[in-house]
Amino acid sequence: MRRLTLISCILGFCIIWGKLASQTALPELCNTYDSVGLYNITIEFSKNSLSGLLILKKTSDSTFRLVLNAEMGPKLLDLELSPTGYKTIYAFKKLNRKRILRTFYEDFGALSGILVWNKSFSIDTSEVATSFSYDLGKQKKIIYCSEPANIRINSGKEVVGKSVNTIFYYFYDPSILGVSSMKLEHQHFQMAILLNKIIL
Amino acid sequence: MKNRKSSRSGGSILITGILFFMCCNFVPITAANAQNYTPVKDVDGFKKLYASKLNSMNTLKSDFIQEKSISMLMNKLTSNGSFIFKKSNKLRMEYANPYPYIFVMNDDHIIVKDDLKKSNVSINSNKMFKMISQLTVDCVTGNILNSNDFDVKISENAKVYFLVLKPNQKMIKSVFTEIDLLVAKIDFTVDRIDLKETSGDSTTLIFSNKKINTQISDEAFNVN
Repeated sequence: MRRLTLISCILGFCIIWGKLASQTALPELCNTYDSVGLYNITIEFSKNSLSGLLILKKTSDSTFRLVLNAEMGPKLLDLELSPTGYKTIYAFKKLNRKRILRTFYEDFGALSGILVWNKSFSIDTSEVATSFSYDLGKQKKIIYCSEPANIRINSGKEVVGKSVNTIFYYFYDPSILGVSSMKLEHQHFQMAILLNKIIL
Repeated sequence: MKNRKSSRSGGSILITGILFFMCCNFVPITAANAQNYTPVKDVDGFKKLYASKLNSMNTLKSDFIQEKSISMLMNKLTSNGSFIFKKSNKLRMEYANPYPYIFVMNDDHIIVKDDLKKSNVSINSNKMFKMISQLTVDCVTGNILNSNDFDVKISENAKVYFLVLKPNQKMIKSVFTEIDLLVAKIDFTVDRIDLKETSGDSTTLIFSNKKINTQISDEAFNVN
């Protein structure tokens, strides 16, 4: 009976520790100190580029609102992101295509950590980095990396099988809390997203 | 018991009194607002006068404040900067705060420069950019009144003309429900542009320190 109690205590501790660890493994963007993050965004696609204002608002523990505005004018995109999918609240006609919206969801979901929210992960520690690997099924993985013994994520990648779909980076500025800028690059087509945090 | 009843009825009298007072005060205020502007009867006459006044405007330099009202946010997002227009199709909007951003339209080319990089955009390859920059220029030059893309209602008070433009062109209509302009009577320049979006959000541009026909070199529309 005592043994059983001890085992269940250890199991319980492991589960709680796993949950805590999964929280700290998320990039800081997800554990944002503000409920609203404002970013100057540039999206480069082939030879075209679009710049504007991106607003990320945490609407619950597991949901984000993402609003993309043209700098000089109207709203282009308004999505609600959750670990299970996205809801289109508004999309400018040209962006209102399933493939484009799905790409935005996966890119911002990976950057924000929403795709891996509350999911279990494995840790691999080497001398140069610690990586947190999330298995999303269908051979799809998201791997976040930090320096050893550093819970701050500084890069990540989305992998399907052995093929790397996207690589992303997080940059920190000591003068502000959390991530100051981010960059995501697609590996199979020419698309990059650059985000720079705006301090009001 | 009686006392409680009377205090209750006293309370409700007080609330009714407050509501009555509020109603009495709100009615004249809203009525006054509605009466602020009276419709311009001679619309064609106004259009001719507006066109003739703005024909003589070759350049316009001003400061601007941009306010974005986004339904998701409690507060407006405010930015400011400088605005330069030169006939016939050159525009430079340089945002200074909260972060530097330069938007230049030089005839058929658009240059955008922010903290991260400078991009050249062909105006013909980006219909959205073209539409918004052209709308801004047309609002400032008054050309918007000659456009068939809008139904226009014009009203006035002692200081300004108030133009309400309802788009009927497909692309503009898909983005904006209404564009409101306040035009200063003193010099026929635009004081304020309100861009009301189909999404429910809006962007307001407020112009100040306007200088008409000052010397502006073409160099102002190049970005290094």
